[in-house]
Amino acid sequence: MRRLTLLAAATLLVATGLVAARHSATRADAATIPVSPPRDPVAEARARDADIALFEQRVGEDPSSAADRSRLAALYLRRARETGGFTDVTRASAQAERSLALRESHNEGTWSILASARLAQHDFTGALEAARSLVASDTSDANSLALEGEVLLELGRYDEAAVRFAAVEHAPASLSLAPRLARWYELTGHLDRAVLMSRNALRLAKANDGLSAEQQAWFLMRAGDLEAKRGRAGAARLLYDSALTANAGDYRVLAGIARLDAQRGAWREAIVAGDSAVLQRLEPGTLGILREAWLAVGDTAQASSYAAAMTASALTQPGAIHRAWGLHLVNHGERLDDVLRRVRRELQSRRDVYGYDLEGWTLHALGRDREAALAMHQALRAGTEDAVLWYHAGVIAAAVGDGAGARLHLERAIALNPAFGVEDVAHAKALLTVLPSAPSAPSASSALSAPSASSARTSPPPLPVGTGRVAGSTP
Amino acid sequence: MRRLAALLLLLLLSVARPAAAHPLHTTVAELRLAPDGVLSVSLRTFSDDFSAAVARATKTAVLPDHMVSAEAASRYVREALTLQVAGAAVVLRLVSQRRDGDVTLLEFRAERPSVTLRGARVLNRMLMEFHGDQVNLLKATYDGRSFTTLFSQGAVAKALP
Repeated sequence: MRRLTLLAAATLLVATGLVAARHSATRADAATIPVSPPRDPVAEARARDADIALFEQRVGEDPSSAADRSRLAALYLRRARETGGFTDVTRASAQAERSLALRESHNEGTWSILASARLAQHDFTGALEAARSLVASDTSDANSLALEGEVLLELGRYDEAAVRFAAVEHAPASLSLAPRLARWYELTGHLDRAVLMSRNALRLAKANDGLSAEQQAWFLMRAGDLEAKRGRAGAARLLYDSALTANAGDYRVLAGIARLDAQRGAWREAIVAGDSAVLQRLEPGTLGILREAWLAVGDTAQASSYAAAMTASALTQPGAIHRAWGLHLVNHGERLDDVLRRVRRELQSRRDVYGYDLEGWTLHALGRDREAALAMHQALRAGTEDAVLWYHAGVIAAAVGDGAGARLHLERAIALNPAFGVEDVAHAKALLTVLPSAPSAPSASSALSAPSASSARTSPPPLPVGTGRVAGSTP
Repeated sequence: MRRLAALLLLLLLSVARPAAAHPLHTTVAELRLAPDGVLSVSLRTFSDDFSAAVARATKTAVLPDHMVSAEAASRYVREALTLQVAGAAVVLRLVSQRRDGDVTLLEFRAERPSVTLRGARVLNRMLMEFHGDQVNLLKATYDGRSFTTLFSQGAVAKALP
């Protein structure tokens, strides 16, 4: 056992050493995307299930073994990630809790598993408790602090998260640390740095032959998501395609491709990729993309089917509201009061920027623009470089007569990502043509009364842009 | 040794956690029309949901480990998944039934060959009597193309394009 521990530790140390110059990562292009040789997901799944069976048997034979329960929890979590099985998330959570109830000392890693399982269940408070227990076991461990920081980000507690991440920002990068730092950078206005960090995570992943096909694909997909967010669709697509090479048919990657296709108005392509994704896992965000796509190609019956499925799946999600579903409804002027009620319920405990964005966008759709502007102020407070946030803020600023602010926000949206959605970009550009040309120019009231600004409420719907993180597996 | 090392890595690497998960009620059906006219239907369904539905609809017992008899499974699916080609109901015959973890996989074959599925009308109401949020996906592959659609509560038969 000790030898195995050392082996795993050595693997991480070797991988860590390969990213000493992590801030020197280069831009995405075909020559620099590190991809490991394709693995055999079927064989991996078979081995994983055999391991699960083995540890289920061991736990059955020795129910007091904290170590076996912890390993079983980790395996359930892995299968949940690979198949989307809800039952496995609850199984992982239960086994991790039982393991920790049996023994906390020399069992610190189980807190990490428990935190991840609770995050998947949208139990953010519980996840924070678990992460803090992990940190308490070693207050200097960078990976533990980063995990706590990640949960704090989910809760919208950015200042506290910043303290955790600042403490580990210059620690040697690891597969556990680098993606979390990337997420921190992404949410707090440093998208370029997030991209660089995701690149380093990719290199770490390539150097580690212990990763499964699904994990390899995840690192590639995250890098692709970030490229997509800054408008580099070509680089994003390359990374997504690489992810599919690592893990053929990965539903998360297919959903990313569908989103990318939809953003450029390639609706037929979006349908092909989106359908391939939902056949594996019904995810409200992807169903929303498919609804938009079918509407765009003129098949309202198909669009209605996907809308119904989206609502059915979204309403069973953990948490008060599925964000992508909420945005989708608002963009179509549907269930506005319900969305507002749900998002406000969630904001009571989870005050992240995307929650405030949804609240603001919903209030705007309801014609309550002054309140919407206040919510958007919160949505922008972390400086998140997401074009959709700035687009929403710009439209709302225009609606309250802040023409100068609207111009700044809309120009920022387009600068961040000139292709964040074909209809939204067109709408933003149309608005800009009627807004004051400079911050000190004409009275904001002119923008408020301009037809384009007032029609913003019924403007073409933006596409769901990945704010949802929730999914459900098909059998 | 390698597998256990990977397991240890899992304990350390929890960053790629699952997307938030939930108990969604769904089935997936894949219709495939082969060039020789043989029409097959593959069905994937969660075993616990399926066995409960079959048992209730056919008034039969659920076998151990959420298994159901071939005859009962066949009867249930024929009632819930209907397909009409050129105006005539297609009779499906169960070819195989097997388990893969929590999932039951069923293979059906049409008793008669078909020329095309273009214009065929299909409806899949499986498990909707149990779950208000049931969503059944259907992918049809025929004539060198594929088409995917969904059925949820209140859905009516759809024509394949």
